[in-house]
Amino acid sequence: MRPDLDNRNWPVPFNRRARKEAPKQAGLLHQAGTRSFVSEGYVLAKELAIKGTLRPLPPGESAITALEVGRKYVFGATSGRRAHVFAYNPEPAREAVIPVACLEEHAGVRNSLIWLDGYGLVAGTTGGVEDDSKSGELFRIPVPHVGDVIQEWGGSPSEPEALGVPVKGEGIACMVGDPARRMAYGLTAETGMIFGFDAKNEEIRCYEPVDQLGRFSPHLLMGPDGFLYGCATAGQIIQWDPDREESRETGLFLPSMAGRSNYSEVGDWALDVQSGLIYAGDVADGLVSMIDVAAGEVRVLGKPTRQSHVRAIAVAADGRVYGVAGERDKICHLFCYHPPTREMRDLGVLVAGTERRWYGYEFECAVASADGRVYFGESERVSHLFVYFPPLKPVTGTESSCLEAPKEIGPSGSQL
Amino acid sequence: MKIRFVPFEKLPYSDTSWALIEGPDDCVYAASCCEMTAGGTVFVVRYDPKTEKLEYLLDVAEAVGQSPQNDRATQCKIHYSMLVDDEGVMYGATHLSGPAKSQLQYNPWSTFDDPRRSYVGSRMFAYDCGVEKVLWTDTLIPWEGCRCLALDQKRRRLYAVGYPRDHFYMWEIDTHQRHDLGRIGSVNPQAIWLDSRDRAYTTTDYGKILVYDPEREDLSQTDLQTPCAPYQKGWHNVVYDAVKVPGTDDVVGVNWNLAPYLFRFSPGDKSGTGRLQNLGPASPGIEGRKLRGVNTDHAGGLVFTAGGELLFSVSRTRGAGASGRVATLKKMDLESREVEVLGDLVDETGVEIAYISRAVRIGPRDLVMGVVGRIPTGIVHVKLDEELANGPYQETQRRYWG
Repeated sequence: MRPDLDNRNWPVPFNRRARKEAPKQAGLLHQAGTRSFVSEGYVLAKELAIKGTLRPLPPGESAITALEVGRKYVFGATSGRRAHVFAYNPEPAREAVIPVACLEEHAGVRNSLIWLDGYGLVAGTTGGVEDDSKSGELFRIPVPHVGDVIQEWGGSPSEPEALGVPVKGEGIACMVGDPARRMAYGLTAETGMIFGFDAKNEEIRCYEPVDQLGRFSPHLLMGPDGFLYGCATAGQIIQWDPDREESRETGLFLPSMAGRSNYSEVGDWALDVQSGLIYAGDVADGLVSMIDVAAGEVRVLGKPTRQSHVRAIAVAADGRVYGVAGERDKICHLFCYHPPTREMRDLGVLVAGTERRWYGYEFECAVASADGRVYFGESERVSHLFVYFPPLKPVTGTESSCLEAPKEIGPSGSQL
Repeated sequence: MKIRFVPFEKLPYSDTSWALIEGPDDCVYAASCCEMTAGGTVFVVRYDPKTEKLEYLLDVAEAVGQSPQNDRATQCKIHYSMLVDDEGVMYGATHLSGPAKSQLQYNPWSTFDDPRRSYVGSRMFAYDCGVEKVLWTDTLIPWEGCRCLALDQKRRRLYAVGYPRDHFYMWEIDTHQRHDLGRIGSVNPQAIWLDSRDRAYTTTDYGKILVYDPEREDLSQTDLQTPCAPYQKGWHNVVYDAVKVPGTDDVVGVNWNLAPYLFRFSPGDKSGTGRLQNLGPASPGIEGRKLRGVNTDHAGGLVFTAGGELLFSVSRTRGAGASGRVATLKKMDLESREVEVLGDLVDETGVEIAYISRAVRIGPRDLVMGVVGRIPTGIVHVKLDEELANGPYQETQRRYWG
């Protein structure tokens, strides 16, 4: 039916009235509604290639699903049609993302990229390109020497060396390094079997499932006490002793909203090596919690964004905790927790002006390096390594929430 | 050339008309959008160039069940997402930008997926233009707007690009199934076009041509890059408008960029191949040394005359402020690439048109264009001179993309 426009009443719209009657308040509203992007610190989006020289990793194969800090490089691995491994060198003359290797028959490396000093880089795979028969294969990945990327550089793709499969038919859910023992430990993707890779002898050993029901989070963490930590049914935190090769219940649980711990799952977690505290974010409710395994305490620190699913967490060198939260197929936000002030702030949507102008919507992993940078792995059809330089001085909520009405505001609407 | 501005007088707050398409009835269908008014919504209008009659057909927000009284970001706009098939069925998909009735503006990044405040998503509707009836509605893309749409009539499939997440989508008309083929950029291309094999094309942020091949079921990026000014590297070279070259399988397109360039694309036999020809800048002489907005030298409204000459409109600044802008209609001979200025778009009563979104030609002489930036907005009806109405392509050239 056609609209009856002859008899329609067209009231003066609010935005026109507000500008005329209360320009200062209208200015505040305008300012309030435009602050959606990260506005503190500095964000760099690195293409997954030596920019302008090589093609970036192919669309559909570039979602970054694992990051690891090595001695000189930050390493990353992707998932998609095929998995790739890359290295980012932050040293100015060598500053570039270098494609290291393509795992041709494998579709993913998820939280399973480990740097072991004296041995090198180990990747655990999940999913196959043609079939899943090789899913779960571990690889040692030599890192090519590239050098100065301004004038003359070298390098060629490395040949991954297959190390074996912990449990046939199962992919690798996650891995964590244990430099002291020269070991890497991990969980298999289906049954949650704890396994270890001994870099001295290049041997794989399987131990026990982390949970009897097979309900586990695809994350392990090396605690401050040399024990491994995992998360099992109903969010129960499990401790695994690498020396005795056995697990025990800690009596600690990953917090959730009331009545929802049956959905408890770690989205990501990270250890603050200075304090020995573990910062954990959950999938179901988007809570961020602090786990003190020494004191046997768990505290909820907050829910940084309106959405659920804390996707990635890293503890910066100065103890500030940065993370990304947001549900799949939506828009994630960066958040910051500052332990001295116990302040949790939503910093907004990640966006970069260099080296590519790019909005960052979805992320799967994060790491922090000793020089203060925090790295986020974007996980889209076309993905980038986001390098975040936190502001030198922590920003307070008072500072960040302050609005100042502009003298003049443009028309609403715009080019959207 | 006789120029007449046809305002949408019954929609006093309407401010933009982006979507404009011809139907098999030789009428023009346009979206009357309301982006800058809190609580404003989009309407579909029909204009018959023969009778010069304008009809207000559809209150889209009402049709898709999203009244502005719900105080969410409004169904204020249809961008380049309104098509009419050969049976006279219109497929439209809404877009975002307008504020809720109690708000000053809408920012999709701040409010994405908010259960009370957010834009609910691009709502799709099918509308029978003959009997004037909404056939069905559905959600095309949750939480996001739809930037542009293309119709594969054979497969009964729509291709779309969402905003702001910039994903490429496929939507099956019969099953209402959506397939998300993933992210393609940050800027957002303004058009998707099809070739005779129903391959769908658009561009990345750098103007690299993307192609979806329905036979291979694969979205891939080609090495073909749309042209740009010599001082640019191609960033923001997303396609703005594309029109089929009559009698060929080629399209001529223009970028959405500072100093936009025209190009001709000839698809190759194999997906990912083809030829791109640089047709030069739409507004020559921009040196790139002074600050300019991305829309300052906007070019759009691409359409061919009956004789196979390209018509397009470019915006230019004549004085200070928005009121100092006017659009100029130009003509290009594709063979010689010679461009002739046909004149400024100033109607008989002195109304100056600053920005042309899309254009269609109905029969040999009636050129109708969408207008952006006037309140109320409207369309421009240009009666082409006899010399522009001669040629082998007298009939209306149908377009199946927005």
